Amino acid sequence: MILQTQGLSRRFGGLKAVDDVSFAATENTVQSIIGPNGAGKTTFFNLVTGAIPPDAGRILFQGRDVTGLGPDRLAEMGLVRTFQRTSIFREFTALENVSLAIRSRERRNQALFLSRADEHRISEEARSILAEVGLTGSERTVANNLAHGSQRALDVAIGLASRPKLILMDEPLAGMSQGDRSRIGTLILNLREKMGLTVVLVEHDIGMVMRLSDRITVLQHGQVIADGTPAEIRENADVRNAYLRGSFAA
Amino acid sequence: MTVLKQCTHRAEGIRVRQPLRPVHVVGFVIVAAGAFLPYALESQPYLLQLACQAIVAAILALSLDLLMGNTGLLSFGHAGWYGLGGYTAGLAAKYATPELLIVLPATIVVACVIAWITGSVLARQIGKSFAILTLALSQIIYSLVFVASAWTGGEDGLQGIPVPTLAGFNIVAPQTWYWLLYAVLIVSLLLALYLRRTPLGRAWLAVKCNSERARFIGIAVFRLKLIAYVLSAALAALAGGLFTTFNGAVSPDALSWFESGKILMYVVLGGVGTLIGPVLGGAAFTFAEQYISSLTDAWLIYFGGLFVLVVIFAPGGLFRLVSMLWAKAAGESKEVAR
Amino acid sequence: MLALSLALNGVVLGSILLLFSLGLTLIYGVGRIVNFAHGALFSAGALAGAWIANSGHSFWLALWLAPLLIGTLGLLLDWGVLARIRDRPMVDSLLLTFGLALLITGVLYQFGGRNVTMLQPPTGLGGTVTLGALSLPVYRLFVSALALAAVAALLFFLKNSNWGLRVRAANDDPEMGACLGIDRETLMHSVVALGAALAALAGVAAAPIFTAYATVGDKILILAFMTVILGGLGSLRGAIVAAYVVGLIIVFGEGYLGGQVALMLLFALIMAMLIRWPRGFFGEGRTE
Repeated sequence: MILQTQGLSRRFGGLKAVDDVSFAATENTVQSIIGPNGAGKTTFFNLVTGAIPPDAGRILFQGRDVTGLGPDRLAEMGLVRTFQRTSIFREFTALENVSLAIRSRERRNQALFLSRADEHRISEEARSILAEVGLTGSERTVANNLAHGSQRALDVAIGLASRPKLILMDEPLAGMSQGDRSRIGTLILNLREKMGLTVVLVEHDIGMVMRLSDRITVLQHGQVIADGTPAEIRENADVRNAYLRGSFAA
Repeated sequence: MTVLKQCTHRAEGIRVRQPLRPVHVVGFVIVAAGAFLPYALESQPYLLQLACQAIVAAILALSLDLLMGNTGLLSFGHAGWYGLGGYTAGLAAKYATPELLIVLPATIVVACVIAWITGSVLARQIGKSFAILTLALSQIIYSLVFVASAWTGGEDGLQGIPVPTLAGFNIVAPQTWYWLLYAVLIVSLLLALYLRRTPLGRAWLAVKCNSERARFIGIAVFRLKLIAYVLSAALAALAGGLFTTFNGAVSPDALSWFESGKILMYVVLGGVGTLIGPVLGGAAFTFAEQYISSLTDAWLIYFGGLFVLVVIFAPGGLFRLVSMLWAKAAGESKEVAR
Repeated sequence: MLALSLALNGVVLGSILLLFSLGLTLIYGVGRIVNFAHGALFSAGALAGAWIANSGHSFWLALWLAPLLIGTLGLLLDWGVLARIRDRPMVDSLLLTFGLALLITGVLYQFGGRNVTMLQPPTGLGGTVTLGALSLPVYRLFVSALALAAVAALLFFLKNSNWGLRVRAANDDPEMGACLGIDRETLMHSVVALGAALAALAGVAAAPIFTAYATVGDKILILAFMTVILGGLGSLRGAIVAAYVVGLIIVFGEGYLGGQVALMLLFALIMAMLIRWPRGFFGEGRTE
């Protein structure tokens, strides 16, 4: 269990957005969290990534209690996230985007000098990360000029520079064309296969979710209503009811 | 088009080997020409005086761009640092020693300390609060001048500052002043340009481009803002110290809103983040101001009007305009990183 | 009884400050614009009022005509200038209003603003009133009452009218406000016009106390900025409390320590407060 939540809860005013959610992610798998709008997915995500503190419950990462830690601390520990609205450094080249993240990891950001050897090593590492996400050839393109799908991939690459163990993706397929979707899908599988990462996604695209995931958790009204393999979820009556109620509009 | 997003410097990488481009040659020629100006102006001491003022303005503009260009933070009270430097240097020269090698470093240290203290609170605020507080801070420094008017001369300003010395030599001749100021400008500019290409400089640019993600990848956003804030204050204070010792006097007017506005104008007109643009903007503006204010005393109206027009219609500043024209003329493809 | 007299004066200053700051807060809340030109509008109101009253018309006419004129100016400025940078990032709007401040001040200088103009309170309101050991000029009481009445009216309006509802919605969440269907542009025009009018009203009403000249509004603007930061940017009730806190601190500071020191003290207090409570008194300050 690389990531676990125990009885996680968060309310906003009178609304219990996340209600006593216990969740577990196994290492080196792809896990998805789905649910109708308003199910609490985004809030759950924000809780786990340290963006907001929970009212109750615990979050455990690699067995350690990380409840209440902020996103930068979590990133240091190996828990990284990507953003729904692609968040990259638009004025830098793709290579620079990743090099920047690597230098951050190495705490070199206040340095006034970097040796030739270090520079070389860092850009080589950046190149290989870009290759993992399929951006070879685009290293010297300014990020803002990359295609939409490539920018999304760059967003992931920046996260990868922190050498994470777990990567949390907030609707990685949102707003993508069909071609880009399958590309990101391949990227996600690649992260699990080649890089040995654990990926947890929040997504609306049920088709892709079914195809990519080892395990799916379904939320509704802030609570877990089902949890299992794609096949199990497909057969699950509660999940089908939630769909039929018509609140699964993507 | 907006004021801040005109990053016209290359975002390519640290120490990317840049071949000697025509731009570099032109730059070198201009810098060399500038050094020879005193000879050209031998018969016009008034113009040389004005040129010195222009250089001080250029240094001030550079200092503000160090803050705005690197972090995206706006300071509406930058003249406060200028004034602080001026009064500190003036007081030191008058009551302690006129030796610049002591006075100027002392001025920088004082500015750094105060900037560090105030910046520790200010740099944590959101952009708008920061802007408001910088204005307030400059008013506080202004108030300080009046509270200590027994020393600072209050409304009348600080006068009777003795002729300064540099390593024992009196600096009296305008030419000497010019070269001293010019050297400070060129060295600061080169350092600022160099800083761009260091990891620190890249991190600053990252903060300016996307501070949220910067924080997420572990960049110490607050600390970087603080460093930029202190550096810009120190340079502005140095400019103030130099001007005051050159001028022999300093008055509270140096700390006014209007002065802060002028510095902002230099930077916005020149192009935020371009470093060279604000330097040229500051110099050009000083000459323009002299000329225009001799024609009309509705100077403030024109200035305010120009400010408004620039923000609305040319927020990237003239530098961007010129560099676009240059790129066209040289037939280069658009290499300006958006 | 110095303390009590100072306290009353502090309340007077606080009331004027409140009247002035509410417009600033609304413009920020609805348009996310920090209006650096607000002080210039105060000065414009003071000068316009003084000019009207001193050219043979009654003070009472000046009291509503000046705000009307400056309110219209505000409307024109929003329509003609501010509207052009609606969707730009905040930096541009800060610079723009700063430029406007310089422009307006320049115009005021041209219209004789370099001189200080006195404005006498109307004959009904001259003199002082004595309560036991205290005496306070009647006019100051009037100004406080006027300011409080105006603020109360504004708050009432905000709570109970359609317009008020839209303003409050936009104040809470500008994107949602835009979704409420009604013209965001018109709403913004009305808010800026109202803000300008309130600033001008504060200027005219305070003119018999502060006199009128081109830069009279500058110091008030600094105080107002401190007020809104203390209260939390965008927080209405924060502004109300903060205005009186600032008024009292300044007046007491001036009484015991001297004007400039009072300002420094206030600034130091704000800095200290920001360390612990960066979102102002009620924690409602904006984080963007």
